[in-house]
Amino acid sequence: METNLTVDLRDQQDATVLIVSGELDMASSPQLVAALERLDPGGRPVILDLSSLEFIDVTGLRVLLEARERAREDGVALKLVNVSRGVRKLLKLTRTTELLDGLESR
Amino acid sequence: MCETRPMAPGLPCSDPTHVALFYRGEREYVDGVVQFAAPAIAAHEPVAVAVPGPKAQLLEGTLRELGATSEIFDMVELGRNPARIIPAVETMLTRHPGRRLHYVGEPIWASRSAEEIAEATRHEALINLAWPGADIRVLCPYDTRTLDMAVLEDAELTHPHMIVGGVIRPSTRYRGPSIPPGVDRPLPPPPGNAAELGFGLEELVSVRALVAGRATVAGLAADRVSDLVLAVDELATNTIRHGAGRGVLRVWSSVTDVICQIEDPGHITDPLAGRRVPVLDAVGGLGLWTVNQLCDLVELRTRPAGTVVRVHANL
Repeated sequence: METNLTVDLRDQQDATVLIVSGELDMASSPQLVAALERLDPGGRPVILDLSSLEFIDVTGLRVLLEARERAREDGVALKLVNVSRGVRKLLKLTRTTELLDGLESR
Repeated sequence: MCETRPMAPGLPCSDPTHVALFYRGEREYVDGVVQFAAPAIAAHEPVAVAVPGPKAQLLEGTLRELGATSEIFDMVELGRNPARIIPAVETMLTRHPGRRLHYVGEPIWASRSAEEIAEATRHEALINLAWPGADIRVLCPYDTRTLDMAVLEDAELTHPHMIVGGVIRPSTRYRGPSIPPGVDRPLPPPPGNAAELGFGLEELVSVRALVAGRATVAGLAADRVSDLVLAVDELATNTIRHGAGRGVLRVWSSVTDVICQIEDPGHITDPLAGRRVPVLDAVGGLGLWTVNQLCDLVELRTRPAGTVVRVHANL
């Protein structure tokens, strides 16, 4: 299916970075789920860079929350960076801000 | 009344927990609220008041003088979308754990649109189902001088008890926590010039684009366009997930509102869907919750044969 989401992997020495750009919804979220499943962080923290994420809905938010849950189970550090106003607003509305506590930096 | 709805199981059956106060003029209004608040003041229990602006100021002063511990809210803001009131009261309840909350809520006033009054009446009916087990008393003032007779009749259907002329009595017309039929009729059809789009998962992007385009052209401010786009996206996602996969979006505008409607073959069986404060790790229900928080009015008609949700953003 054609979607408005791209997920780019940037392997850095000290972290694995996923750049999530465009629109994260029910149609596109399987792309992010698949990208997260393919990751092999090898003990390095995983960083989700959301600077170019233009849209996210509850379905997209759930993917982020599940990723955080899985990372915790696997003992991997997961961070969201460059969280946009739109994402923050959705977190606040759904009272999930605290679920992302400690996830977010910058 | 108690057999249909024990709002606080420890209370004797005669203790009225959801009362309509029919008032004529300011004096009956203040007297009614003061009488309601008296046991709270005596027991040092919390009082919460959500009434339209000027009345909020009036009651705030009176309750302060009487020494009540009260929180005052402007219902014009808090209850702009009446679907937000029940979770707002739930939040008040959680602020006072283990204590009885005495809540005065006036969600209906004469200058509200007919659509708003219908949804506020639905809210009144749903109060009889909300907060099971919570220790709460609710008083709902109705201005009999300015409200239509039909609105007052519906208040008798939605409240187990009434105060009329300062005297409390059971409502003989209360039949349990059902929605009054007058406010649950099918919505009038959208205008012929409404934009229309049949959609499934493949068209979710187009759903958002259509809403954004139309709302922008109608003059809605950019951040409110984003809110409306997100709300309609959540409704469309619900349709795709629960409503047989496909639905129809219609978008139009009036002098006052941008209006979007999603129609699908699904049936929402939980009358309080979208009216519970989200809990961490909630499995479902966040979609409609988000819609209620983002829109100025949400009209919902759901039957086994299908569901129509019509959302408004004020211009």
